[in-house]
Amino acid sequence: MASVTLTKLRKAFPDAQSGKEIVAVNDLNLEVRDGEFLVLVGPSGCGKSTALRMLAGLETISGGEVRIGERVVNNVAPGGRNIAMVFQNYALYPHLSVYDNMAFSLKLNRLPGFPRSLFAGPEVKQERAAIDTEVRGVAELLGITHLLDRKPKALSGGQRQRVALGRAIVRHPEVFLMDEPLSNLDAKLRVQTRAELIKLHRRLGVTTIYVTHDQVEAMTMGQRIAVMRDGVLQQCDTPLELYHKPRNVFVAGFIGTPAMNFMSAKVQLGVAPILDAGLIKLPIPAARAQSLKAYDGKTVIVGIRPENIFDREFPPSSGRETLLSEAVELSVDLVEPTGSKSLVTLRAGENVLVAEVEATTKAREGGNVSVVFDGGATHIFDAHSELAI
Amino acid sequence: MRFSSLPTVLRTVALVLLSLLFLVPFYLIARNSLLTDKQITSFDWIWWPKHPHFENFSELFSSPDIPMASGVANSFFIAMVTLIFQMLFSSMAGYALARIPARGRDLVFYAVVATLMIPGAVTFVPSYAVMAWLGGVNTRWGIIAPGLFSAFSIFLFRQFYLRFPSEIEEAGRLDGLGYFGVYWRLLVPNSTGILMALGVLTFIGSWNAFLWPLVIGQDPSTWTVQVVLSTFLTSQTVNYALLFAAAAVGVAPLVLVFLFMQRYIVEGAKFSSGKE
Repeated sequence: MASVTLTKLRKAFPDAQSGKEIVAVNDLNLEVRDGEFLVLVGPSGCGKSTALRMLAGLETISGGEVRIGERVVNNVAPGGRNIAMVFQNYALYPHLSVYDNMAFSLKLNRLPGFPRSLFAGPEVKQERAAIDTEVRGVAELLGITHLLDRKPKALSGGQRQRVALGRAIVRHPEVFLMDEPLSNLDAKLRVQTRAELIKLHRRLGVTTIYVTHDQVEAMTMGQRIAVMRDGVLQQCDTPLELYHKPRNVFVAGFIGTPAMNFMSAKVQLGVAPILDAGLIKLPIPAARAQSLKAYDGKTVIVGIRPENIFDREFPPSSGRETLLSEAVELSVDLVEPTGSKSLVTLRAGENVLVAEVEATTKAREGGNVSVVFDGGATHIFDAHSELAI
Repeated sequence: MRFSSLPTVLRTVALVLLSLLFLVPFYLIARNSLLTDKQITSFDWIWWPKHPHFENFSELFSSPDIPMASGVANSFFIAMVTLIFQMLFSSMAGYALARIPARGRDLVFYAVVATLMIPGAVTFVPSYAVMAWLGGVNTRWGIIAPGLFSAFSIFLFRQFYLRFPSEIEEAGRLDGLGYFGVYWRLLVPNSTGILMALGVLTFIGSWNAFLWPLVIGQDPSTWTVQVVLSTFLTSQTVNYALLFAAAAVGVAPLVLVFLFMQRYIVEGAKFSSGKE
């Protein structure tokens, strides 16, 4: 196991058409602690996979440094980095059985302690036996012993995924790299495998860097999450910290399902400080008002999560500390029941908001509903820099 | 019950008749190779010999004037060596041109493809001059050498490897394989389809080659089946029975290849047309 340090990591491609430089990863600084499960998340094209591939050695590095443990690996071939990668489409060797897929790298690189000679004599047999023990041990751990003789094409998606994991585990790498390994599985299997991966990480304790575009996956799996956008790291923090204290509008909007609602509002710090968003007037907690002094009378971006907008008939439980706004009547565009809750799309002038309310809400499409906002749960961002205030 | 429309029936009948037409030469070779010379030239048409005259074949292989046995051996040797090495070199070149990043790689590829535009007849004399300079005239390797490299095969292998999943190659690199390791351990075992398809076509092409073996192999010890066959036609008196027996020997391996490897020939045609 080892830590991973990316320092000012940069990747630029020349654009074939314009000849200009396209920067896929821009000065990425990131430290993954020894044994940590870090998730790189962001929308398509944000540079997360490119960063992972540079770490794996599959992509050349335009600038910066990649360090695994104490070793700078910029110029080390992928096979010499002591890492294992699980690919999105598993990348199993089609012509080899599951057993041979898992044993491939062990046979190729020889086990530690065994001489690298063609005339090793009895050691070859001992090494084969050691490889066999290793492969069967990992197969048992993953519950794929019965599949060892099969070829990849005779396996289901979930089984292939396990074999790909097994192939990675059997090498005892210092770092696991996973590039959207669950995205080819169906929804149910994805949730199941997600839990298994978490358990596996706890059991093996190997440093893992996991790339996904699915923020739910990121939130549930990552000990820390690094959010990327357009090649730039936006924020790297624990899942809850990201959720409750997003550094900017992008992170706030990306983390959380359904996504945070945003609207423009004017800061009015008077006797009762409020954020004035036209129809909606959100009270500002006294503690927050202090930090907003410089913004008095100015427009800011205010974000509020759907669970902090309440149907007036179902106000928050009394045990919860809230700072509710005045009730406001808004028209209902759409009601989407999800079972225990309902997602209600509301129209407030130019703003479209989504509220997550009780499933028993009386809100109906085309009608109106009276809602209240928890002013204490708002996120306030600078209108120009989009950074949190 | 489904009734086919009249155009379909007519089309099918026409195709069947055409197929039969293509079978006529094979029928004639088989029939004549089992008749005596007199029976072949007789005005009484014999559809199929009641007592096949197999002696034609024994005479063909035992006559000191006809190097048939060495011709068959030469043809096999040349076709097999050409097949093995052309597949090896073309697949390696195809992989390199498809996957190994190198300055000027595409330029090399275009140069290779450009050679496909040049008719073989144009390069025939220069090729002979080069081979003569290298001392390849009257040798089997002289016949083989130009066939070891095929721009067409290189082109098809390159296209095939361009479509090969890059993740498998990357997984191999992470497992510790270099470029050759990836090629030999991962790509070749997963290229059996194209190897078989192109291999069969290469074998057929090499077996049927006539002009180059004729020009290079001037000594009877280097003659291939096709060259041996040509000697029958240049004799003062043509022995049709032996000629057809020799033709039967010349065509038999191809018929066998067709019967057992038909699937790969069709696949080869598909690879060539890009309709994989």
